[in-house]
Amino acid sequence: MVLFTGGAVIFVAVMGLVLYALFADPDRTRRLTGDHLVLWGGLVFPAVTLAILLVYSISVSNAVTRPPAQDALRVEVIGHMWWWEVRYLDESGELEFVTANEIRAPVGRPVEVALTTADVIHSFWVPNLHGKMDLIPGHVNRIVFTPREAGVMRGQCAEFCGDQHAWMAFHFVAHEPAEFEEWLELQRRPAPEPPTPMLAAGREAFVAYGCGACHRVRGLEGADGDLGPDLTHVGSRPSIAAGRLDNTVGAFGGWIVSAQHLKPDNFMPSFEHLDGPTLRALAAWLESLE
Amino acid sequence: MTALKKGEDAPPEGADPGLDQLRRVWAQPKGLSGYKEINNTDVGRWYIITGLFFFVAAGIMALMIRAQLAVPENDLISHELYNQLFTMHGTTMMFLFAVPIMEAIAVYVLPNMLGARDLPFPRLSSYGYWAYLFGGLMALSSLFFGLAPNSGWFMYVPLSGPEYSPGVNADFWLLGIGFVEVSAVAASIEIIVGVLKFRPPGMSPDRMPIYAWYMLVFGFMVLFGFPPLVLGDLLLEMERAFHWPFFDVERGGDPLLWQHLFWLFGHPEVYIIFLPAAGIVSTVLPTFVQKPLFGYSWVVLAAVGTGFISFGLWVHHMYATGIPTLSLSFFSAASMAVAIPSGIQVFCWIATLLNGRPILKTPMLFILGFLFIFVLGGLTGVMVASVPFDWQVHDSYFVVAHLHYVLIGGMVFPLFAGLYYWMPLATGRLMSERLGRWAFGLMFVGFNVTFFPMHIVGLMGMPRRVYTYPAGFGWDWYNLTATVGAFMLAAGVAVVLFDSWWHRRRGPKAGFNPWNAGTLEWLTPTPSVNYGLRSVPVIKSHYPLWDNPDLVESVRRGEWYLPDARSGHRETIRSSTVASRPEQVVRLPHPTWLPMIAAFFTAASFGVAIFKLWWIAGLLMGCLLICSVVWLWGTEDRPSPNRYDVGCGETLPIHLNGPNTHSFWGMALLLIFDGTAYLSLVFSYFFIWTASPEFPPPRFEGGEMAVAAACAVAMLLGSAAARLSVHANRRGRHGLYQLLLLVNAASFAAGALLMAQTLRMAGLGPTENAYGAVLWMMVSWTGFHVAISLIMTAYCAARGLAGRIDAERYQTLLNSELFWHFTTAVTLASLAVMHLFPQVA
Amino acid sequence: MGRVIPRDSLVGMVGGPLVWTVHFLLIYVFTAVACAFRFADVTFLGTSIVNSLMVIATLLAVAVIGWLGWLAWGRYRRAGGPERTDDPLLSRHQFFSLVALLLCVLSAIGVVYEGIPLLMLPACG
Repeated sequence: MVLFTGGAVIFVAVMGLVLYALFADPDRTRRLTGDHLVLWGGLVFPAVTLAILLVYSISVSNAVTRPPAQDALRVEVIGHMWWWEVRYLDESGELEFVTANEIRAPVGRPVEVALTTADVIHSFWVPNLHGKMDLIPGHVNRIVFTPREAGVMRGQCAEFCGDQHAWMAFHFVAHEPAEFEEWLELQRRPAPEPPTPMLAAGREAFVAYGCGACHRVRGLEGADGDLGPDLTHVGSRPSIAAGRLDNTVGAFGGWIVSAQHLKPDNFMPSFEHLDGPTLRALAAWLESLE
Repeated sequence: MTALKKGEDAPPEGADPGLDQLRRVWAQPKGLSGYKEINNTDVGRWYIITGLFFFVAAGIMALMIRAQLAVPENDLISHELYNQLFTMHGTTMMFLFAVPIMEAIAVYVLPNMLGARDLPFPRLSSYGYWAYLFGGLMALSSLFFGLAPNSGWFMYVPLSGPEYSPGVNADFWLLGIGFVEVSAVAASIEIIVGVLKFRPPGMSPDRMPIYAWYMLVFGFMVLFGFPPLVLGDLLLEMERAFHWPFFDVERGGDPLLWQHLFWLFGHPEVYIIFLPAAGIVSTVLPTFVQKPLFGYSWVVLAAVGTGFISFGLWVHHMYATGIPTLSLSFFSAASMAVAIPSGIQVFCWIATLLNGRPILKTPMLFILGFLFIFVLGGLTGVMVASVPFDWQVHDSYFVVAHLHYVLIGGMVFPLFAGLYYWMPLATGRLMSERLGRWAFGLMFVGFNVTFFPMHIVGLMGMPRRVYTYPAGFGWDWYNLTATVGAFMLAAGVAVVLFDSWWHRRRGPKAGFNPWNAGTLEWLTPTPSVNYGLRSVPVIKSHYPLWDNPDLVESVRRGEWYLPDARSGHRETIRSSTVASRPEQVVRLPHPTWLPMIAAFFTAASFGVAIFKLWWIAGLLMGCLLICSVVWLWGTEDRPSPNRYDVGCGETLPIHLNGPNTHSFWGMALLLIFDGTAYLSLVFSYFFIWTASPEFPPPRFEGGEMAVAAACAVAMLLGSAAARLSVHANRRGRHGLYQLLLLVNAASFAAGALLMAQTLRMAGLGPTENAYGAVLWMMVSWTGFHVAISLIMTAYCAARGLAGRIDAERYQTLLNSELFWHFTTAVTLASLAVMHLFPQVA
Repeated sequence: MGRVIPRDSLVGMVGGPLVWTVHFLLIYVFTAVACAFRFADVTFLGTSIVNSLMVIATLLAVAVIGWLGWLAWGRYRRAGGPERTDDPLLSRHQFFSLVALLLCVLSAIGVVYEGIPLLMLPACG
């Protein structure tokens, strides 16, 4: 804000001077000109202002990059061409569970996100939360922030990463602490058993059509692939396909049939020849994975 | 006041024999042979037109981009095409338009401003032009085959590396850039030597037109700024074609190395573009205030200061890469410091404005538009210099807005001011004021409507380089507005282009010095003539046309230096660097096809190299080599007598040897460029070393050290032989001269082989890890230079046999000697890095 | 005095910025190397020696620039200072020394700016 107001004032002042030079009587304007104008306006004023700005901006960056507190929630984020793998760690640094395209955290507790990438450079950015940080092969970058109020915020990859850079989003959800504990508890569990025959048929189709070769669903035999997002609790996420679609049964169906149309050149094929009932069952089962 | 009034023509043929000689000697060949012309006036004109062509091409890409983004989830353009479009838009604008057109303007106006008849190396600038044209067309054509680069104009690895861009797309980028580098280096050497040596008598550096100062800084910035990119290009191409792992993490490389090399070039690049534009502003503004530029020394300070400090900004494109905050802050500090010279310039311009009553003709409107946009862009620039603020807006549309404010505001508006301003020199007519006002209005309003909303949408979180975006985030209206603005801006440009074609027949005749400007380029009749000034006057002030009203007549009557061309040669005066005393009459080459043919072979060899047809590429390079030998063979003619009466009671030598000659300076500047590229390689070595300190450097045992020592001795021997060969030649001992050249060649060849042998003995290959790759790159560097050295040795020997190097004329030998010593220096430095440094570390 | 830098040379004119360049590269490379090899943890009298060394380098750079600037000022005064002159030699001296002086001022500001973060931030944070 300081930047914008200051910038605006300087801009108006300089442009005012230009207009004055253009339209005022040259005999009067001439008196303004001289070495003192350049010295004070062009050298001393910017030198002092910029020094102050420099001190200010260094102290801000010092504050936002302070090392994390001991009790920080630790999350690893791995960028993939064009989705986000999110891994939650416990206090001892052991992996607890894996989710995708969503990060949840309790209000008031610092979060330390360790950023790496599986392929090319991506950049982690939740505009309303914090500045961005790149995910670079061979480097582990860290970003630390503390959510202040509960709510959902959208984040997006900010470094061009190929074909579907435009559709590489995720959601950051800040919960009240109790709610967050519930969510953690849910995530730690394997995928729920399908309560109805139709959903069970969906689960069978998932294995039968080879979805499990790329996707993992904890607790399901034959679904332990690592190429795509972990789908154990995909039904509870704010979006599917890295922010491409809302999380609804219809969206799941649409995504399965036309992934290549919705997000061309992503690594999931379109299952165009799936028959109606199978598709409906599959979509319903996925949506039910809460 | 002036004898030549508006609309008056030059005197008729035959009335003035000196003038007729000039006309005849400098005439452009007729018909198709016209393209043989190498004079700066013709080459400069083609150069500018070509630059504008690429501007239009990149502008059309921009319109396609804006059309796609007009509404959310648009599928007008596929993501593949979109990614190619935004990559090519940036690449074309930066590399094929912005830098070349600034060179083009300099090629066109600089000699006239400096009262020279041409630039120092006309064939080189012609070669640079054709290389740029062929290379640019080739790069652009990739778009029509769907093979255009698609990883963004800064080509971050690994996305642009062999794994994620296996096609030839990225190679087209590397090729296109290769060409612009070639032509930029050619132009910068040309410009530096031109400004420092090809000035009229009396025009010491404190009296140069301010534009010349800017272009001098520009030239040096290109020499120091482009090499890191040349090296980065080479490394990336080696990784792509031969799997040398400079950037591959698995094998000890680091993708950040690319970012460093790219931005080491990329940030100075912004100022490389901006400074010439500021030079145009500082030239045009005084004319339309009819008062001298205020604070000449201040402006020189600002140009030179910017030139230096802009090299300390590169990491400010990498704030979000996880570099320690202290290191980031150094760059933040430099980014703030660089705003000071810009501030000084702005206040000098304002002070100039305050000094008189501005005349609001079209060029002046563009200058005022520039001031408005540039100050705004500068302020957002200071904002993004702040590390925490940049973390927020980096890679968002805020940055897109900022960079377009700085580049369009800071470069395109002054460029258009310059086009309107200097157009009468090219066409002899004025462009329409009415259309000019329309064009300016459309461009200025259209520009702000396009780019101002981008600041807001960027702050709202829209990242750059997305081919579409979801509805419902409040981004829609801003994007639609921007698209409308883009088409307005394009309409403005179209008006300018239309009028620059239309006015050639319909515009009012400009006559002599239509704007009543004060600088020398307006001392020629309009349209200007190839030989520039009828005679070259002694200069005593910044604005000779204002300060010395009699000058016009006396120059026209041929009362000053070089009033004719009775020798039948194209010639111009070379003066001393600081005092600007005339020292030599330089005979310049006449029209020839060679530069164009050489450029063709260069383009062809690069072109087939994209498709990895190495043998054909090598063959074409061989043709290029033959061209250059033919090209150079005729230099150093033996004039007899070696004195020439230049008028004003002075006679000057025609041929000179020694370090003051323009050719020696050309070679020295080329080596500065080469040396900077080499330093970038050394930087890469140390970067890889710090990036992975645990990575073991190769263990060199005693045996390798001995071989390395032998290599050093061989190189030193080669250099010593080179030095002695110069002495032998000067004493006229031809046999000894040839023998010493042979020793030079043999030692260099042995040195290169021994150097490679040290790595072979250590069992280090170029593809296993990044260390091996960098070390082999150093060996290749020496190998390449030794190969060139050998060619030069053979060439000098041949010239010796042909009697073209002898005791009186041996500049070729001196230039080659410089290169030989450079080769030795590079090799010794590499040996130290390869073998001594690991012992110390 | 005044003979140390030859009069009216283009290289002599840019002495200030050259010192800025050397200083900039020095602190950048030094931090990078020190952080890569963890020298930054070494402290002396409670401050990191990395920072202290670089602050010293900064003061040194300012001193050198100040000295160059002082020389330029001397030459400027001897060439007649801001007084306008028609003598080509004198006006050339004025120009070269004035630009050299101004460049020293700018470079000094640049170096001081580089020093600010050194006082505020740890070396490898």
